[in-house]
Amino acid sequence: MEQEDYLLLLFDRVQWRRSRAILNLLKGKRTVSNLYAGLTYQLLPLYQLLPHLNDVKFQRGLDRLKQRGLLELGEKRYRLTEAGLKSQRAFILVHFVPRWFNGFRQPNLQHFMARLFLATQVTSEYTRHNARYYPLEISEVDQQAVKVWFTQYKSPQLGRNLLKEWRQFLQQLPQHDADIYSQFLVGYKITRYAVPQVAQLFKLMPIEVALYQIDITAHLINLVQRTPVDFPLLAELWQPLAQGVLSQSSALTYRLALQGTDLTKIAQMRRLRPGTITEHLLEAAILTPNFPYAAYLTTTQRQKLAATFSETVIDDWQYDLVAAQDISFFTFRLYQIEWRKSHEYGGIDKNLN
Amino acid sequence: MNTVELTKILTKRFGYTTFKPGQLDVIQAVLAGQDTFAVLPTGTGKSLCYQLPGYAASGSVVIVSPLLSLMQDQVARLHYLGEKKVVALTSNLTAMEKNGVLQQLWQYRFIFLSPEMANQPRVRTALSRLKISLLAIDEAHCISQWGTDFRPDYLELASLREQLQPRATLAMTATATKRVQADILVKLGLTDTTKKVIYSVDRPNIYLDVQQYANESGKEQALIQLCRQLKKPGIVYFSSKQKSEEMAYKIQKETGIKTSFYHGDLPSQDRYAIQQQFMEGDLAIICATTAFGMGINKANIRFVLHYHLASNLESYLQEIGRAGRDGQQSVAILLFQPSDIRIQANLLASGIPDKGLIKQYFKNPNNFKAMHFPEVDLLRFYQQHGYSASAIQQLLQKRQEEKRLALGGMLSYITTPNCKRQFILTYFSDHKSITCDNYCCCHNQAADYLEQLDLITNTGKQKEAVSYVDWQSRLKQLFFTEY
Ligand SMILES: [Zn+2]
Repeated sequence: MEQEDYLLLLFDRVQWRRSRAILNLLKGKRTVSNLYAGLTYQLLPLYQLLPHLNDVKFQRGLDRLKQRGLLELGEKRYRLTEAGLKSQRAFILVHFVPRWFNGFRQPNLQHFMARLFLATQVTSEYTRHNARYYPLEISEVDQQAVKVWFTQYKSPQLGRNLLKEWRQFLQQLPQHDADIYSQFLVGYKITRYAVPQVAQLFKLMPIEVALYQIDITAHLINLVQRTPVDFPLLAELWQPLAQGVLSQSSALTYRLALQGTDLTKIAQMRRLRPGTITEHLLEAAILTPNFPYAAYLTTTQRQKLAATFSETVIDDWQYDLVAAQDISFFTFRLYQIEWRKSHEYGGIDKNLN
Repeated sequence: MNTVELTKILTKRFGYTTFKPGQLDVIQAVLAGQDTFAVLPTGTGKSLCYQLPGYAASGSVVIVSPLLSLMQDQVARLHYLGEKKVVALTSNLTAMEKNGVLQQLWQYRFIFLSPEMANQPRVRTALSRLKISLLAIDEAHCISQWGTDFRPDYLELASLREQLQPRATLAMTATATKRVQADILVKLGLTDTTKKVIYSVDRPNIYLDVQQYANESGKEQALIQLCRQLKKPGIVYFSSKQKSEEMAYKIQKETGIKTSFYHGDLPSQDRYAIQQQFMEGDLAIICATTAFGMGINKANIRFVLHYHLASNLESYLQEIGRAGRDGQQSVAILLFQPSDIRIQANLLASGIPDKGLIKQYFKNPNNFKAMHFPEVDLLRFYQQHGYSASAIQQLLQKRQEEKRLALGGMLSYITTPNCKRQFILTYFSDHKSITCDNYCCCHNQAADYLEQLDLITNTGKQKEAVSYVDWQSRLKQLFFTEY
């Protein structure tokens, strides 16, 4: 098995998928069009999974899968071949697939991971009264955050308390997974392993190890959010990074909209283009449950849309067909989102045609 | 400041009790406000020459450095020594971080930056508000067009000097031919009154060896055998990232010696991990590209092997200079097979724009506005400094020629049937007189020279390859606890 086989998990046998949109989603490029693609492809939770994913390597991987006859390409979109589907199924059985990661529930995961390991290193060295060591090289903001955290909790009990939280966390994991994760810890006289080394030790692929790292961190963030009393030190480390599912600006628009404020009015109040306001609402419709569709879709509009597209698979709906019928793109897209969310498999037709 | 006081600082801040040759001369000169030009061989603690003055005089020390990895290593080193007031102004900083740093610039004792960064108007303004005790130019040979690593932004350093008005300027390099040395002074606007501290490039405790092979597989086998035999730790340099990975796996697999690779494509967290393991002795061999080890301060490296030749003798000396910093006998072996020349010849042309590109660029520079790769950056720089297309063309041709000559120097070193050490000394117009004996080089080499040098490892069976401890034990080690 090759590393690129992981990419098979991003594709479907029936649905044609745009690789660019998937790449953007994985890298965490937040546009309504990328988010909508995520919804369409049932891949939304993978938002921001690999922020440093290399475009060229991604494309090279797809090319190879195509060469190997596992992917087929049509009009810049890919889908699995029969052989590709088989490989995908076989792959899932033997390789690690993230369980806890959800880019919207654990935003800033990379920052948290950097802070978590530095905080642990600083504490370990502090426990041994050592000041001469190479601190992990992480970004300036993350360093500062750890400094603040450390100044606040510095005490003879810090080591003991942090150890308690680490134990509490790691013992909830299978031994194998906890062992992998702990290889990245650094501290007094303890160096960490690099990803390719851990891969060798555990007979995994490097990308698999990276996914373990991310997914286990996601699990930790979930625990810390759910029961902060069990993890007071780590919760404090996480707190400054916590944020809602929506971007701040979208959240503000959405709140006003939920209060019944008219969209034109919101645009005026917020000094934003009306187009931006409708984008905010689409983001809310995609990412949050209980969106008040009825407030923006009239019965007449629904009837027009239903009549036009009743015979068409949702992936093939074209806005052009309703543009002349006094339906805005916003209305069209919103209807599409509602339709997807209310149907199994996001409305994907599971029959090959 | 007198020697006793300086030695006190040396011990307190750096943990050494004595200075290495040249250090004290340089430090006393710059502290007396004298502009200084220092040629000190690699591995003799060049960086201390600007670090220590940071503690002996008030004001900031600004260090201009050509490479990001070099700056990172220096910052890490200062962090290690417990220094918190240190910053590297690099492209790694986010816009917000950079703003924050520039606003608070006065609070840093050490400020590292690249010449490109130093030329940004906002950065210059921020710097010019500081009291600067020392402006240090690291790897100053980059300023010379005759140097092999010439970078155009270095040409602006004279004007930077003028604007910042530092108490003293220190230009440092490990290797520079006479012509490059003279050029550095001119380009920095330094006068004849500049103090010169020039030491021999020779590192007598590094034995110089070149071994030639008929083909790649012969060379591979030889490398593995050397890794097995030689006393460790050691570094093997490659010019290809892929080969460094491949050979690291092979060496580890065939010898059981803890080996890893290191190159610029590794994420920074992994690079950190590998460096630390090497520093702590958890890794015995590193297969690296030249991205590794610029600032590595590991004293007991016993061998530096080159699986591919360096592009010039300057780089080669820099790289092998990482061996034997503790003064103990060490060895540098260059493994060579004929087709290796091709790799270097291909690298020669990279980064230098060709005729076609120059023409296209000058036809409409705006088309290239958004492009940022070395060739275009270079053209942009020259164009903004008023060079015409033909002038650039000429200049670049000359650069290409210089590079070819420099590679020629490297090849002559490989093929010379005479003393390798003498070859290097002559190349750098170094007048040190040496004797070519059993501790010198592969000229008249005995079959068992490695035994004679006492560089053969005596641990019969190598340690088993990497293993790991479970998370429970790891936590115990980390927090030093019995419960
Ligand atoms: Zn000799």
